[in-house]
Amino acid sequence: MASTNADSSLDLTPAEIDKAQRHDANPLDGIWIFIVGDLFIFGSYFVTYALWRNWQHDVFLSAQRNLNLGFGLFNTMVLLVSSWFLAAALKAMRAADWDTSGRWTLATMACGLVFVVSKISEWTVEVGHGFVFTSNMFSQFYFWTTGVHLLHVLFGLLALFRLYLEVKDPTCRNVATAESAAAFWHMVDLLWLVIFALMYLTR
Amino acid sequence: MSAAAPPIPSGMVAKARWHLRHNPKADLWVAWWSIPIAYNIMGMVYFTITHMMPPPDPSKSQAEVVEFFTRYGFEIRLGFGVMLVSLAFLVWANGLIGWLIMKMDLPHAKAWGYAYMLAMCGGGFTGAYMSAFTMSVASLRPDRDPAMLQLLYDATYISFDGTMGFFLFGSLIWTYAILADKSRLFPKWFGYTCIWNFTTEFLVSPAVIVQTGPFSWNGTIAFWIDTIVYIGWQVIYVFMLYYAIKRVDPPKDRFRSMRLANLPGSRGTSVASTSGLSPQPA
Repeated sequence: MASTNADSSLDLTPAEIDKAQRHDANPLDGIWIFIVGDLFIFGSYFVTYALWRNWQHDVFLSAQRNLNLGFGLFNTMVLLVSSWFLAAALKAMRAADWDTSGRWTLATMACGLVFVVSKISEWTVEVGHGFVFTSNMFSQFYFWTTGVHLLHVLFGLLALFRLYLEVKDPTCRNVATAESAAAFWHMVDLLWLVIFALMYLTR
Repeated sequence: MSAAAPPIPSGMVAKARWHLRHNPKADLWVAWWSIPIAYNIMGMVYFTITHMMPPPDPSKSQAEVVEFFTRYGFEIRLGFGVMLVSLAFLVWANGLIGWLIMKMDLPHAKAWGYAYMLAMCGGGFTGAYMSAFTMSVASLRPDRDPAMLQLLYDATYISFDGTMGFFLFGSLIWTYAILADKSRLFPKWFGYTCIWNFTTEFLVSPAVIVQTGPFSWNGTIAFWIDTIVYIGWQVIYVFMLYYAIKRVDPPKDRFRSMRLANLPGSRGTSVASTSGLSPQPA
């Protein structure tokens, strides 16, 4: 068991303990560090993509024709709507309207699941047409970036499920958890907007 | 440290001796120091001595592979000779983290601690030992059949990247343990940074599929971004372990207590010496 008592040997000073406790009291501290780091990592993928796109412009342009803009638009709309639902859930939560908040959270999760099914369907169609990971450099970036993004969506769904459980249980309702989950979900949404613009729209 | 311990002397050697004798967390600190030492040796071996890192081109021809092993043969054997010894330091590091996980306030903490240690042993064996063996074997006789040398060259880098599954689950276990731990041994934000490391393990996976571009084993994404994130996370993790050791209760040192209590005239803090009693003649 960890100890924060000053009587343990080689302990932190009271000021250090106080600082550590204040830090731990706010879960948003953690999620923002993660979000900033994750945005940097994704930012580095996007810079790498832009460089390769510049070096192999013709390959990328012709390979982009394999993508279905309809799927891309649908997925974008689904994620934008899900973010709106989650904002409504948070608004209801701040007003202590827990039932409404629970319903909006479920609606957000439903949108997330629709995105997962839609993305997998899109990949299935593309692979069926012979457009696979090893087809060319664009396909490597496309399957890779959308795959890592889908992983984030799945983690976001787990966070939303945890949030839903907290909303339904009066003993562990916590607006800070809701704000952490919402911040992560909005980041996932933001990343998709950049992916959609870079891979589907930019010519 | 015990109440009866003498004051800390000055001088590095005397101070180290004092800590080994009287500091109840001495073994934890030795394990902690093994981490920067081992990683510095590994960095030097990989990047400076053996020329294994940054990774050479995966699409090297047989002639180029033969030239690589002929040119760097001695350095490769020397470097991996050093590394195969120093790598054992990391057993301490993994033991330290596994033990800290077991001390956390979370369900089935022991099982998670053992699972972490097993995952890291799997990763260490696949990524460090296997690649060191194949690289050393190839450099021992560079006059072998070039096809065989190319096989060993590919096996080296594929096994180096083959750590990803083990390290991925190791990071996942650590992330879960930190976020679920009610005693807050590690700050919560550090748990989130473990997810960075967890995510970057995925970056390496396409290296077994493609030979050129950013996803190959020497590529911008599969190697450079992954390595930068990993090294940054390593620096944070060494500092976090330092603070966790300060916060955690010292281990129960039953072995030392028994040893000191059973030795008549012991110079340590035995029951007899601290209570002022001396053994009675039979």
